[in-house]
Amino acid sequence: MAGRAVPWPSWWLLVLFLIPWGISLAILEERHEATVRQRRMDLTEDLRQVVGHLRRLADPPAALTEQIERYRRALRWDVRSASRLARRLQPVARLFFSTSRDAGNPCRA
Amino acid sequence: MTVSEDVWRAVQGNEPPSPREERGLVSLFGTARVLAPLRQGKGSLVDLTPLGQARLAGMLPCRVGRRRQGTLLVIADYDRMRPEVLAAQAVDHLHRLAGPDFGFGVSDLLGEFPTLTRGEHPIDQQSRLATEPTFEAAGRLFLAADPRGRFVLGASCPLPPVRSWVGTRWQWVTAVTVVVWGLLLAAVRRGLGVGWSLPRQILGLFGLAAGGGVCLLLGLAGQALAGRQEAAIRGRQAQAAAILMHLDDGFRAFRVQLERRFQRFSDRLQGQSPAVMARLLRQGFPARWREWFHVMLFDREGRWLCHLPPPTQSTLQVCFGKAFANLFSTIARVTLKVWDWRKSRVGAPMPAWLDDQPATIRYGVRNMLRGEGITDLVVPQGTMARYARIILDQEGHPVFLLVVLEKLVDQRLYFRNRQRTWRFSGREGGFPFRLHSLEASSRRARPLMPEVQRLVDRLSQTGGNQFEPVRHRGRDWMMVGRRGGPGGKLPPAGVSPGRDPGGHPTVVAGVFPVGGLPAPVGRRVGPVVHPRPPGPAPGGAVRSAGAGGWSLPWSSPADHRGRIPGPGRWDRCPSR
Repeated sequence: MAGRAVPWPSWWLLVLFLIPWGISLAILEERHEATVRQRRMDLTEDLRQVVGHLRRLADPPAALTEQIERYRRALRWDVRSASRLARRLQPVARLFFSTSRDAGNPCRA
Repeated sequence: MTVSEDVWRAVQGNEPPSPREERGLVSLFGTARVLAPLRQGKGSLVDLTPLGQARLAGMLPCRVGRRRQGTLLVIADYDRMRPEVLAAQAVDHLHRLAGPDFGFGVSDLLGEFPTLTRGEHPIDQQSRLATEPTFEAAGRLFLAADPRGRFVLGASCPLPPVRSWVGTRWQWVTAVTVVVWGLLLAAVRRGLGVGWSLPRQILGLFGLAAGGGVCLLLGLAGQALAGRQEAAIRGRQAQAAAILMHLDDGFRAFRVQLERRFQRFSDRLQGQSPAVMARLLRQGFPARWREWFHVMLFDREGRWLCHLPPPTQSTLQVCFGKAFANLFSTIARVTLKVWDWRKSRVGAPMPAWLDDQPATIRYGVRNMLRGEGITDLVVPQGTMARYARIILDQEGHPVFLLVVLEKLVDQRLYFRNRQRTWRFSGREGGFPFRLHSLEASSRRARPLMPEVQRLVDRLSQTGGNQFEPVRHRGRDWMMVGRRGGPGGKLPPAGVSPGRDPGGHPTVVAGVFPVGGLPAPVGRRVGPVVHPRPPGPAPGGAVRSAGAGGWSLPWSSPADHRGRIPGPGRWDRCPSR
């Protein structure tokens, strides 16, 4: 089809119209990268915390401290699990418990 | 007497240990030098490694069940713990908790124990962690917990791949570009075909380009503003949480302040005759404040010298019924008797004959002698604050003063104090922030907005700060709540104390607007300014004036009605 040739200003304006399209694509790309970067950073931070916790759990003094804390909490909230925890602690820890009523007359937990 | 009992006494006391106690210390800890660190570190575990003992030891306060308090003496030899077992247990434990995405592994550098992995954590990558503590492989991030130790603990999680947005959608982008470009070209050609003049073509294309640009700019501006709005809300949330934390921490100081005022008042009773004491008490606790305090004064025989009960039945009267008068008379008599007994025995424990008393008396006496000042008193109805003091009358005979703070008056006063401060500072700050105290007891709380109820429910189950958006009168608000903390901060109150006596469910909550922040296309957000930190308001929010030169801190001339804010007034959300 031998249509009339499009005059040069129209071509130029078409190119001009493509500029915002290109910019928007570039911005979308940038935002996508920022999102992915943020997500990776968040996951890395999560993993660092998990690993820190892993390290504490595997460190004997820290693990022991944590178990004793759990035992203390269990004494208050769930005596049955406290006795279970005490049994677990038995090979490594000696626990003596005294109530305020019989202070000075402690009994072996 | 057992060895543990000797050690117990040695650690509790302040004197040098006796030879017997020293032997007990050596038999339990291996050395008597542990005494000093144990005495210094009461309430925490002390590492005895510097003393050449691979042990943790400590005396820790703890509670058993709901009410019994006790002390736990712990001597733990952590060198008896097998590190390989601990490492394996840690990996198993965290694998259960962390979810399926995370992988874990542990390997022994000496090779005595086989490598153990959990989840998607390849063994070869676990081995690589021994030399390289952090790396990324196969779309996962690998981290080593302790690369210097014998056991290498590793963890991994999948990382989202860094892919180009356009790159992954290039077919769509190309297609859309070509189609739109073709359509435009066709439009231009058709425009020419229908005889559009060149100026009209230029105008049309410019309009199209400008319209596209403006839409793009509006979209971007909207996104940027939405981002700023989110950041501003996050900032306000952080500030609101900090405010509540300060508020919670400040309660202890307020109680001390209140206690000093009580002490100053009771100092005035010293050396007076019982009749004058009773008169001063009536003056000090005028009728408008009776609702909030239950005042009792006893002589050494347990006789009532003065009794100022609340006009309605007090909690104690409800709690003990007809036995109330006799019970407290007996508690006062025995308290003064024990006080007499201990006067000549400084630092002595309670007398043995106290154990012959009924449990309620025994408990009451111990509580009354726990220390002069404001302390918690646990009764079946909940926990109350009380002020107790033993005063000498003009003849040198001791009398016992007991003031029970009713209806959580100390907390209400504290909140009123803070509410004044924050009302004052809220206008100055970058955003208005209102404080509310909230008794979460379903029995006492008035019908709350569902959002508030939801917030309270969450707070009663969790320990941290909680946020809840709420829409009220066409505006968006953000509520932030925090439970009162333990250890002398906001004490237990509120949520069904019978069921949760150990909790500290007093809720402090604040509300600040988010509706005023810019809409995606709207006003610009201004700088968020931290409000003035809580503290006495300029000019003194707490003013004193009252009968007899002494006044309760809240009886200011400006507030003679004695109105104290009740539990959360959420039915009236603050307006900006």
